[in-house]
Amino acid sequence: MFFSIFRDIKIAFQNFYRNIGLFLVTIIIIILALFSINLLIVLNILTNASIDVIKKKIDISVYFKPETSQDQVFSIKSRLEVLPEVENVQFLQKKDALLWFQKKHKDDPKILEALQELDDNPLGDSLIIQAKKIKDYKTILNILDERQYKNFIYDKDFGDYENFIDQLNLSSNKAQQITLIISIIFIFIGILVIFNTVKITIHTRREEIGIMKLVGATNWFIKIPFILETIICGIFAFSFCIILFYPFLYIIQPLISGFLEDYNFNIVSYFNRHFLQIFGWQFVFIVILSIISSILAIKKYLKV
Amino acid sequence: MILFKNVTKIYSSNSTALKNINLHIEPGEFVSIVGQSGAGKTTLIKLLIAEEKATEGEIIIGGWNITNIFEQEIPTLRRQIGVVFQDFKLLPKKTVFENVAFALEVIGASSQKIKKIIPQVLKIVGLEEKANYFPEYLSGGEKQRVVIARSLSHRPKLLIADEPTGNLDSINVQEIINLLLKINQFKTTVVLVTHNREIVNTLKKRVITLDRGIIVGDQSKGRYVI
Repeated sequence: MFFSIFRDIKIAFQNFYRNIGLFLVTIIIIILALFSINLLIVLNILTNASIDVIKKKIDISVYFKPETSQDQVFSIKSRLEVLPEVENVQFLQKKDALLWFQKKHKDDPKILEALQELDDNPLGDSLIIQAKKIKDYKTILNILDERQYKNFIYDKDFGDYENFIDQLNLSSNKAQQITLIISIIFIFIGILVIFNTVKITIHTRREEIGIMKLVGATNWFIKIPFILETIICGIFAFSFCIILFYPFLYIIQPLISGFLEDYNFNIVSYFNRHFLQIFGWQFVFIVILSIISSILAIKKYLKV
Repeated sequence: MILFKNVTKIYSSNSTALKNINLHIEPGEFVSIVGQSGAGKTTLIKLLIAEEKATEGEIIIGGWNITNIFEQEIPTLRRQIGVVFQDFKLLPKKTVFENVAFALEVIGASSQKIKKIIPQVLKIVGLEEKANYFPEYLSGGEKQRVVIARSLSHRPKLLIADEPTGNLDSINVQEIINLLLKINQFKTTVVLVTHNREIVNTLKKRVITLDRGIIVGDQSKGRYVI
């Protein structure tokens, strides 16, 4: 048994080497199919990263009335910090709170004008709260709306975001659905293209299969080297795809850095961290596809 | 022993290749099957190697009734028969050594056995120097000798040669025929299908003549009469 497998592998590698011209086309086609799928993965990652960037810019600014003491603000801060939904709570003093408020409303001349008309800073100390997830903001807001805090809070500026977040979530879900559909179409096209290429490769060698049958080879004796050759071909293409894809990632990294400023996102590191998840299934997929397509393609020529 | 009992092969309603063939070939015999193109010679060979199935009648080879042979039994049958084809049927991406070795690999021979047998077989056909050549670098005669070596390697009891000299020049024709006679001397039954009158007449062996799917002559030391 082991002897036979060893011999089959040896024959498969020998045939692969001797028919390299024929396999080259198959390898190129598989590389292109895998490259396209990986390109789509990059697009998906970038879409998610962009949405994350926007989500990270969202926070709740809570402006307290000037008469609220720092102890009261700190006690509210402590309560918020222990909530599982809260990522971070930042304390701003009265003066900084005004600057923060002005910065946040820099595009709203009416608010800025109203502030200028006032001699004193109407704001007290403030808290800037960031939630772990977008949906967690609602929980935090509900807590801040409790009666016990109403007397201390001058204003909360989350209301402007609510509409935006709903739209963002909607767009994010739509983007993911579109990527999924495109991925399925690409994978389907990839399967068809790879299957047909394997079919053509085996069709070219149909006479060889006929001769093997006439000499008395069983179907599996003929099939196994052909399946192994296709797997070798797939693995070669898969390896070349990775070899070509990493330089591509290095090339696009500066563009991504420019696009996702302040986010410190590195696509190469992302692929390194998720190497097995991204390429592992591609490897399994290509091996299974090689086995199925070669078995189906060879079947027709075994009836001699 | 090969036995054909009332064998008929019909491909379609207007194409009957063989009609009611009765034939008996003893072990170790050298039989030439002659006839013009379309006489049914190749169909007869196809029935022997189960490439086709008889429409009617029975075919028995070495006591094995192959008339209704199962698909999975065909490789076992073919491993016991050596076949030499007019168009050689060599595996183009395998060397002479590997082509001959293939017939042994399919019967599950060990590498050691293969390494031992092949040089001997190649010596018989005079190709020991060309073991590492690919078929494209061989002449027609040499290719046919590789085919004979391949069909001999697993020591079949029956060797079928279907127009083995059809693509060869006169010198090579004689060499191949001499090889077939040599193989027959080792008690291997040889069935030679040919329409080469000269060969048949010089062999002075049994000749079965086919014409339009019917046996029209069967002589123990026959001549090409059509």
